[in-house]
Amino acid sequence: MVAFIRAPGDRSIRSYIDAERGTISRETYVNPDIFEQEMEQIFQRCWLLLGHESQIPNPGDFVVTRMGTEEVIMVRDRKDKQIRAFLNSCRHRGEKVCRYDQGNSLVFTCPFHAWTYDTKGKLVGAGFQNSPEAYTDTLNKAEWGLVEVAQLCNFYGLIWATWDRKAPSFQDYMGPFAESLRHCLQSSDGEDAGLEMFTPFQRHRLPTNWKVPGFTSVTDLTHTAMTHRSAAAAGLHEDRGEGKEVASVKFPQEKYACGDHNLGHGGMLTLYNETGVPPYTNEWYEPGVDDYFREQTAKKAEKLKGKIMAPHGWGGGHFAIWPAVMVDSWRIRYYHPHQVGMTERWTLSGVDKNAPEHVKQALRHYSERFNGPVGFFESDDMENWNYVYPASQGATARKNDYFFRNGIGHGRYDDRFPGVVINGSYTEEAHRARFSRWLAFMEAESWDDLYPVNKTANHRIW
Amino acid sequence: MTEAKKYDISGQHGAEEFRTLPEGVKITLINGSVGEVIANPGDGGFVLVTWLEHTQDPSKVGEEEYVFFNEVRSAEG
Repeated sequence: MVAFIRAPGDRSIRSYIDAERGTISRETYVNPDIFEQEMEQIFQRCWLLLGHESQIPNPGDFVVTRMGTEEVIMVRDRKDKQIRAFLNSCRHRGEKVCRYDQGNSLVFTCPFHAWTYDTKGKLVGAGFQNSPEAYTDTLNKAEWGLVEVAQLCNFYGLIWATWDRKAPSFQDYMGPFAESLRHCLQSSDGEDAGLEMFTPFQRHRLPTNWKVPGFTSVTDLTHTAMTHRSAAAAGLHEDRGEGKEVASVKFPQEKYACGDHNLGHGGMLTLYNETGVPPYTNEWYEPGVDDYFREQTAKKAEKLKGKIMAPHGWGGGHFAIWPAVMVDSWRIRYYHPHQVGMTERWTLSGVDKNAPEHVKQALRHYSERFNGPVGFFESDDMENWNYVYPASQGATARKNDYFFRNGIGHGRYDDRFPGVVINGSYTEEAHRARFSRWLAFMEAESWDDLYPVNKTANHRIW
Repeated sequence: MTEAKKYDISGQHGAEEFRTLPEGVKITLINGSVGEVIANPGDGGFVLVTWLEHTQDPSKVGEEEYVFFNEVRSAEG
């Protein structure tokens, strides 16, 4: 095993990436020490996705979600109706205070010694709290609330949080991708925060490292021909009716693999060269669905008259948000690391919250056919990801680096998407951008070393 | 006038009875304080009450507080 020195600011981790050759050591995927360091250096600092506000519409509603390897309760307070997030761990002895995936609750009572917390995370009770033979004056409840995230942001319906008080605002964290994400969270008529998510959402446990799907499943066009060959050959990509109608006029646009090496975000994005929106083409077999979306598209076109759409994943690819979220027009996937070789993938599938029921049902069925254990595309992907880890783990395998050279040296900056390197759509530019950011986080002592808190930082390594 | 229902919160079935105490029930604590149940989380440990009488600190009357089951002597209402 390659020696790994653990110390803040240690730069030996840099030796695992050879930017000249365009290679990355397999240790980065299989070494448990590196994984532990990632949890500290990356998942303690980054903005992480907790879920969507539509999962907890009512006071007292909660969802148990994750931040890295740890469980977090995302809850809507019963009184002020604000969304907050807390570590799912009792302040007394560390027991889980909530063992349900979701629900509605007045309080979270620890089953161990009955320390009880309200939906603001405040300690409001404890077993024997008033007994003269127990706590007496030793328990000041105001000091022993649940551990709350340092910052929380509701970004057009998606709930994000970070443990780091020094992290930049979520808007700054997203940089030029903020508008792209905002666009993806609009309903199909262009209204902000116009989505709701289907519940329950899909969860899959993958016996692989979190970076396998988290870093390289987005903008990986060279995998599609082989990995999805059988599904494509069977015509299953036309399951939604895609390709049912070909647009008579091509909307001026360019598709790129792109990556922001300073922020780590990137993916397959479309840059538009004309104002407005592409004309609607029929896509659905289910009756009435095309009629709905055609009307919605017309409303969106009206809103975007004279404006060029932000580069986005809405009908134009998908993109990743550093460190482990993928977004496009109808799916939001996030990858939760559990162990160096175990990852959970959660998928939220969105739909216009004001859509009629028959449209919602069509979207739900499409989502189920595409994603999940009976989905016909993603099971192909998961099989690949699941074999990467064991086949990279052995003493011989880990001595041989991964190839990340596809398209290296051909990227360029573009004024339409400032700070972002754009490259050919079949290149690995977005993957390299994520590793530029990965290295920056692994070496940084704090957010003071990292863009955009440090505005002069340049994390691009290749 | 109907007689107030008494809840037997002791013994084998007391835990289940306490877990389902409805809002409006008045509980009397071992120390003599009296509160009205305004919410029950159903965890079997606590009920949320508004204090009607508070023997230790009369200024707490009208305030809300979570009460642990083993402090409760009786419940009726």
